[in-house]
Amino acid sequence: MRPKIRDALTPAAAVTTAPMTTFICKVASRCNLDCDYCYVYRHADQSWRRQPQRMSMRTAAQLGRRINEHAMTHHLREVNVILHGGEPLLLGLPYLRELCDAITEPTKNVTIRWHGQTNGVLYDEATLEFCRERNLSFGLSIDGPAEAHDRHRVDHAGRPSFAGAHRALTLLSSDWGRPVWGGVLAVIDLRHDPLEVYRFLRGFEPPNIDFLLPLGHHDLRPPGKDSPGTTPYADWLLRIFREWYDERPQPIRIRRFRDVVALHLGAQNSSEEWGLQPVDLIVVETNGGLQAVDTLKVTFEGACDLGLNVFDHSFDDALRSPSVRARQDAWATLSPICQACDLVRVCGGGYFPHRYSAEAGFNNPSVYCADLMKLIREITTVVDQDLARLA
Amino acid sequence: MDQARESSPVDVSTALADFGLGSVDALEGSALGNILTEVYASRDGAGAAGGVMHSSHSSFSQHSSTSW
Repeated sequence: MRPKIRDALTPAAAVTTAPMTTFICKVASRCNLDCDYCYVYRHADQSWRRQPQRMSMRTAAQLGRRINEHAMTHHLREVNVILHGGEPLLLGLPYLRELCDAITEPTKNVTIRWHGQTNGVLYDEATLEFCRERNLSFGLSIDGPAEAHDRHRVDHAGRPSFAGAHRALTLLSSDWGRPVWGGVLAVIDLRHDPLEVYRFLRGFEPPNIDFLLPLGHHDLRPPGKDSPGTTPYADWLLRIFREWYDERPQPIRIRRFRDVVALHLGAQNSSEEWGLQPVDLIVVETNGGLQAVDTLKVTFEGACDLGLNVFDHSFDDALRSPSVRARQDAWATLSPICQACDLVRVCGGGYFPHRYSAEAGFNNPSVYCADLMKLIREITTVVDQDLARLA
Repeated sequence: MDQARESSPVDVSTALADFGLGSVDALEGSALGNILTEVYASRDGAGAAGGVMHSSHSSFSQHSSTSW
């Protein structure tokens, strides 16, 4: 029997928990694309098949009540709600509008900052108008120019999706779209030239870019990582870093590089992927079920399941869940190798799903450990040299 | 406690002066200058994230106007 995350983790001692401030809402459990690396549909966990296709208004209203309850308990003035999927725009704008209203109506005591993540295929002028009206900021998933993008991101008939994503990119990067543009997520494929990918995206000047490491772990080696000691992903990213770092003015925030520098300087991470700060986000499935980390779907069936839902449980109940507490007490989840490493303050032991193996659960360094070490050392060396010159 | 407050921008000169560094002109508008500015602004922010909102791996929790 596979270990549940709650069993695989070292039980956390009593820890101070941070309230949830970001609610990732799976408003649609289906997608109009069939990307070959997708952590929702193409990996071990197939629980999406049992989910309703969309979040009901009843569930949305209950979610709003739970958010309000949590905000009042913890004196939160603002929270983030992220419309996620699947593809959230599959709901259609009338349904999406009603759903946002259903979440908002009970949240009298807290301001919701709306965000979303889309593959762009359905993002059109009407969507942009809706987003501006609601101050709803969307991130766009696009892997680079057409060849890079369409290698993985195709529809269920195998047809490319670049044209749709490009249309969304054009809309979001316009003066009209820019105020409601969160940024770009691009999954790395080592076969593509990193500078070609970066320069293509840079041409649209997104406010944020994150180049995502393909989801994998010790039993599901990422492409090109046949040997743990190799550093192909660091090498790929560092080519972008050197160009990005020297450009001026630099309007683009590359989240991965930003977090390495910030954590090196003793500040905070901005993404759950780095550092040792408590994770203050939670995933709500279309049926109202709660999950700690949706990307754990790449590890084993049921890995994400907390056994909780918004109808029967509060977000404070989720905070008491061993899986959530483990994510909040990041140190307790680290392998002994990571606890002894001088870089752990930056890498945080690596992203949680990347640590998994059937043999040791999550008690491993990241499958990307060698890449992370090289990336951190090279970036911090450059930064330290610059700061030394200024001191 | 305002967990969700995001940092307000400050200029790079102020940020670097607080770090005890000297001339800052060299970093104005650079990636490092932007990060230092954000780091400075977030240090006094309240909440578990020190004023910085955590984003999930697969989305952003920032509007473009507050990116840096």
